[in-house]
Amino acid sequence: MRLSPGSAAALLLAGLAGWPLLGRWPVGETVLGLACFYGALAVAWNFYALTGAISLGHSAFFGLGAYGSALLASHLGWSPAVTVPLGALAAVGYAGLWCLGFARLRGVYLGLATLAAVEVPRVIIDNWNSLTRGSQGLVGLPPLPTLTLGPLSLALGTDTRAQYFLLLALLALSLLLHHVALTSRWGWAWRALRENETAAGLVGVPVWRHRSLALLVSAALTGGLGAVYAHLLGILEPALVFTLHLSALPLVLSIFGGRYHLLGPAVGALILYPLDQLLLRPWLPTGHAVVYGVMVILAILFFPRGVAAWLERREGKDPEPARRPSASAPGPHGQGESAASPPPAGPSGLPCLEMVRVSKRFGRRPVLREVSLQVHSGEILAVLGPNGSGKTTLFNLISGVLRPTSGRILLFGTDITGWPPHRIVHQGLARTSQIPRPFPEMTVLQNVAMGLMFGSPGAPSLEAATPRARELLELVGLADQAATPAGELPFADLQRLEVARALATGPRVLLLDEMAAGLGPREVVQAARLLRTLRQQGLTLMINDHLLTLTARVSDRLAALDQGELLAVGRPEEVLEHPAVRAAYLGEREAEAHEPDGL
Amino acid sequence: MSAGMHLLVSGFSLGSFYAVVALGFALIFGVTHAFNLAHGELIILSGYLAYFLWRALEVHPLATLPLTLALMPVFALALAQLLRLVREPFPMNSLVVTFGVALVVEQALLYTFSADYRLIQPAAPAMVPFPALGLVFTEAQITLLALSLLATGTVHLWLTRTFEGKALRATIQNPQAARLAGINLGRMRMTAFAVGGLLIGLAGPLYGQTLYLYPAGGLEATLIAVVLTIFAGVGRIPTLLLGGWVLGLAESWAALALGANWRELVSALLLVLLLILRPEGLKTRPEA
Repeated sequence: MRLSPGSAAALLLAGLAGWPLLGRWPVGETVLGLACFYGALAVAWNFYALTGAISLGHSAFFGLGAYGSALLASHLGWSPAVTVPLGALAAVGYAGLWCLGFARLRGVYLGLATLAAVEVPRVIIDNWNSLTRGSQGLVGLPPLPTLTLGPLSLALGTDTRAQYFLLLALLALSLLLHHVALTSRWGWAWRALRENETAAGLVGVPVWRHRSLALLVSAALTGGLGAVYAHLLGILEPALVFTLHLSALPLVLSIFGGRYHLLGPAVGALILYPLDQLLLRPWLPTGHAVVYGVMVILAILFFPRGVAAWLERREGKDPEPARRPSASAPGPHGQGESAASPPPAGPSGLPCLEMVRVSKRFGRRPVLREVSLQVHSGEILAVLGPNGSGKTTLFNLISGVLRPTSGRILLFGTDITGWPPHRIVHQGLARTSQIPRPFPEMTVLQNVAMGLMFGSPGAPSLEAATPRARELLELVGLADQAATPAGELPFADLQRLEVARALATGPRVLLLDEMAAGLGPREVVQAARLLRTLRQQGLTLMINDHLLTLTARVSDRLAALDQGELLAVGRPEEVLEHPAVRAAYLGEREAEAHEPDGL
Repeated sequence: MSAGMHLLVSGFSLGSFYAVVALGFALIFGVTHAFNLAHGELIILSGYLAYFLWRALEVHPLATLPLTLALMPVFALALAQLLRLVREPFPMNSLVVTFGVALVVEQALLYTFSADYRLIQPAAPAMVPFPALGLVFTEAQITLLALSLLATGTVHLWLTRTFEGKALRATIQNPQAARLAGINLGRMRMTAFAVGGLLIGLAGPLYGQTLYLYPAGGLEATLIAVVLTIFAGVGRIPTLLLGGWVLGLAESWAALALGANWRELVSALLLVLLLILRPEGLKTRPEA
């Protein structure tokens, strides 16, 4: 029997709802209720983890939600029905500060910042005695109100069974949102961010916006849960909520259960929390929480994808739709006719991409010096230069991966200097990368679909993107590998995937970075044919190469770079005859006599 | 003693101690690229060992050092073995694993020593007057300052003057080149953890004399180690001391001007600010 994650979740929730109906409570009512609660907390934490971030500081949101709600309820006498959402809003406000302040932090450093960021609200609340009564804490918080649903009346303040259903409902709500996050268009954006953030930007995913969205959703849920917790408990003090334990718990439960699975975080909570409370606590009254530390260590070392992924594999893997028996027999490589395309155009002579005195320094080391270059509509311009001459840096500046130290870059007359990669993609420029940047756990087809979903105009869903993605895979000769995870492709195929994915974003200008590197003679011929096909379709191409293998075959013009300086631009034969170019590339000593500043 | 002088004295002795706290962390980070979030908890563990030995045997607090200096390297080497099991992506996974170790140590401390706050404080603290400066120090302050400077100075000389120390620095700066030069990386790794363990062993009793010990207290020491390591980099001990003093003075000032509880905020805020200003964190090697 194979269950989709969605139906497994529905079954699980139904089971938990039916549990108390078995008669008297079979096992510890509060334990199961709290397991649901911590499951919801772990799911909430996981929204941020879906973008690849590991937060060590979610207790900040939990505590702010709790304090936001408790202070409003106790000082102003408002009902928890109003203050709980407002508490969640307080957590969202602090998360907003993280979005702004931690925008450039990644990975380990982001984790460390989140760890430290808990201390700020904790110390302030601990010391603002007039408002929060400091470490003495708040007592006598109003209980949750009674909820009336038609004939059913749930006394959430007093009735433990009603509270159990409330906590279960919170778990159900967070799982529903989790399901949306895993399957929707923005869920794909988050997955792209997690698998390769630079590549996500280059296919048109607004990186900052999506990371922030994930954090805000995560903080809102965490804050709301904190607020509910405060009213269930009736008392509140900093040491109850701003704790390492509460930051660690969702992380542990989620990693143990499985971060990338719909049910993972919830399953982690439903296994570990009862294990902790029912088995361990009776004979280890202090120190029973050691189980969380041990389990997260074991999980990272031995099953980093968590319990849920392990169960899934054992049931019979393949959550992806099986490879479709190819409806259209894979044609010969490089067929371009099937691809929908703008009207063909030759070189028009108008500049569509223009660099004006662009310089880049890393620290004190100049990598590009005042490079001015125009790329004309419809041409193939090759940037030639030895390793280290600044070719890839130039591409990084144009595509927004790096920001120039000085100078301007114009695309179709618009100044795009300093724009983030996704905006440049939407303006009609895409690039490939010399060292391929696949989304390794997505299939080849899904990789290309990312370009179609987040480029321009942007497909609404994976399904809508699939037909065109198949066409592009045919174009580059990868149709047979459509269902292979991209991480398993050999290097040459990854380079083709780069091209297909860049084309998927709907560019008018395409930058190909070291496309010929590592290709054999036959593959160079294929690549040259592909480039001419693309130009016929109206694309402007800028390619770079440190060998003449590919560039000499196809380019209309050459630009020669050496040590960050543009030596010459023009027709290939002119540039190759240029004395400075000969001196730099061929090391012809006599060239120095003709060109005093040649080398 | 004026408030200003008091601030200076406590700031400098605390700051020098912070350099010891950070040094062991930085050496381990240097060879493994793992941010050891259990570092502070291990210092607390070392402090508890000293506390109970001091209480049980009624010896001088510093007489506990042989035990902590002997035991903590064992714990550090065990951690080294655990980190060898961590797979890619190593930086993130090692962060989570050491976070897990910190939770385990914290729970073990809670079980063994209970949640009470402890301080190694002789009934009649010895006072040492310095009439020339018009100052009076407690003996704990003097030993804190002296031992911290002695330890950082020794490690500095070891790193810069001895063959073993130079090999370790080479390993930190460029492991591939160090291997090609014939340096045994596995041995360097063990050396770094052993020296890191010794520094943890030293830091524990000093911590117990200076700040309250409680099972969850390691987080603060870890944050201090992280902030100083990111500020100073790995293996630059004069910068580390400078950073320690700045942090120590800032904390002493905050405690004096705002109240003792605000002190805890200083290292956390500095870490956040430092990371915002330097989002790439630590570069052990220049960009290719």
